[in-house]
Amino acid sequence: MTVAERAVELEEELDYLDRDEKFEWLIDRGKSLEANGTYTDADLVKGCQSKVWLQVSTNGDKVHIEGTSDALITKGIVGLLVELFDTAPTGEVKDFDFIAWLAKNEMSLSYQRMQGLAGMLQRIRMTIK
Amino acid sequence: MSIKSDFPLFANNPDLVYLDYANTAPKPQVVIDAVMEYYTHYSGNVHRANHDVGGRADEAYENARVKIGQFVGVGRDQVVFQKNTTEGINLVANSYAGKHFKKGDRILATGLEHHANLVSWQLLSGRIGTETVFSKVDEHGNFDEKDWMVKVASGVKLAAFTAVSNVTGERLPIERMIAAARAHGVVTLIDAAQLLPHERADFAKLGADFMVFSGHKVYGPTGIGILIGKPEALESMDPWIGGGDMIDTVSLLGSTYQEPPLRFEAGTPPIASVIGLGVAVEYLGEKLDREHQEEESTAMECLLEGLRQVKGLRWLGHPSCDSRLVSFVIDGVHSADLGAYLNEKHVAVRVGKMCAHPLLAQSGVDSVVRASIGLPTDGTDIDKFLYAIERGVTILR
Repeated sequence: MTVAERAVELEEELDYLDRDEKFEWLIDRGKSLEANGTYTDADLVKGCQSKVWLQVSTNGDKVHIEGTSDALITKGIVGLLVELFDTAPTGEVKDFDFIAWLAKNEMSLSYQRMQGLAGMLQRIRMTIK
Repeated sequence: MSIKSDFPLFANNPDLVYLDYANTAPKPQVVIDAVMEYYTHYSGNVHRANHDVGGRADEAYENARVKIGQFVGVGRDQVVFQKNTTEGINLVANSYAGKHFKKGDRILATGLEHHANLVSWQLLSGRIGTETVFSKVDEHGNFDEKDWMVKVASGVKLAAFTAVSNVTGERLPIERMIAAARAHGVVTLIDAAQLLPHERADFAKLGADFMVFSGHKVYGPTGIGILIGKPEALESMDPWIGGGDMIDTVSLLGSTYQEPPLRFEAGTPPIASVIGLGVAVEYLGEKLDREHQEEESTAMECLLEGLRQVKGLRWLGHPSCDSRLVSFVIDGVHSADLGAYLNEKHVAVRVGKMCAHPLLAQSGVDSVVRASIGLPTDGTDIDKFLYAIERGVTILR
């Protein structure tokens, strides 16, 4: 499935939710995200109120991404990044504007949290460039 | 009529529950009008214009200096315009301590300080080799007065301390502290940023050498902070930043400088912000009476009583109805998540480390939620805040 197709699948879920439900949807994704890996300080992403660990690598043309956070909303965002980008081709990941996608789906995030998100996206960009 | 009606922020955001006064206060219409009037009617430069527009700006600007001085019980020559509290402390660190102190001299701060009153002294240490020592705080984040009294008598040169902690809301016994410091010949600097929005402070009566505060926390504009100094202390200081307006004579061989306060105000200042602050302290001054203080205390008591009912909630320090802010953590709920949820419910609070990393580390917490009240805070705000906390905890746990 392409990144765009994965995004559409998520949008189908979001279409039926109001603002409050979208918030809880993100929290639930955070609660259900399994942190498989072992994380170190090198995986920490700067610029977020909470702690975020993100591991991004490439295998040939495919992106591998996993991570976690000590806060649920951030963990939910990590979950979305994994769902959209893990095992996807690097070109598709590069072309996908995650922040615009959140805005389009009316996923409200405070400015501070956007700063943390910028760090996560920067980590992904730097790895797949 | 509710005080809220003085503030257009609330008319323009009818759902907003604003509990972030300790961060910055909303602006009353009278302050906004004063700023607007400067820009629309007499937006000349100050101290350097030979026309009527500039003359009007001069008059309004210097009148504001008089009003700000009156607000804290000093004359106009003791009121130095800076960018904010932080810049005021840095000016004292550079121009007073940097001039009069030498390597090995010690500066006493408390373990409660905002970074503004901590990093400024660390920078000075790096420059001239002074040492910064700190009084203890207990495991709850409370000021240890006994320890401070021992340290202030140990030969320190300057004691710089917050009057009210921006994390715990504790109001320090600044009157006793200044008296003890004076008895030992120690120069004092009060960080009054969190004090003056809620309590009158007469600088002359207090007897401190310096006091700093920010305009935006006393309902004034951003970009303007105030350093108050004893005349002899200000006169003994060299300029820190050089340029226009702070000079007396200039030649290619050297310059002489203005008397204080202009000596420390190089370049075109934030004229509109100064004028706005003059109006803000008048506005606030009229409301720092018993009636409004009791209203703030009632709001705080309701807030604390509601928070006491939240299972697993722990606050830093010992906030009471006399406090105007409370910082807390809740077991099983990340502060960042709770702050985001509150924002979803139009409740504005501060989340994070409060620019006081050492105090949070000492208290064993990574980040807190801080709710702070101000003049417009009413019972409806507190009810909505507490309801949002209750719902947020249920969802986020």
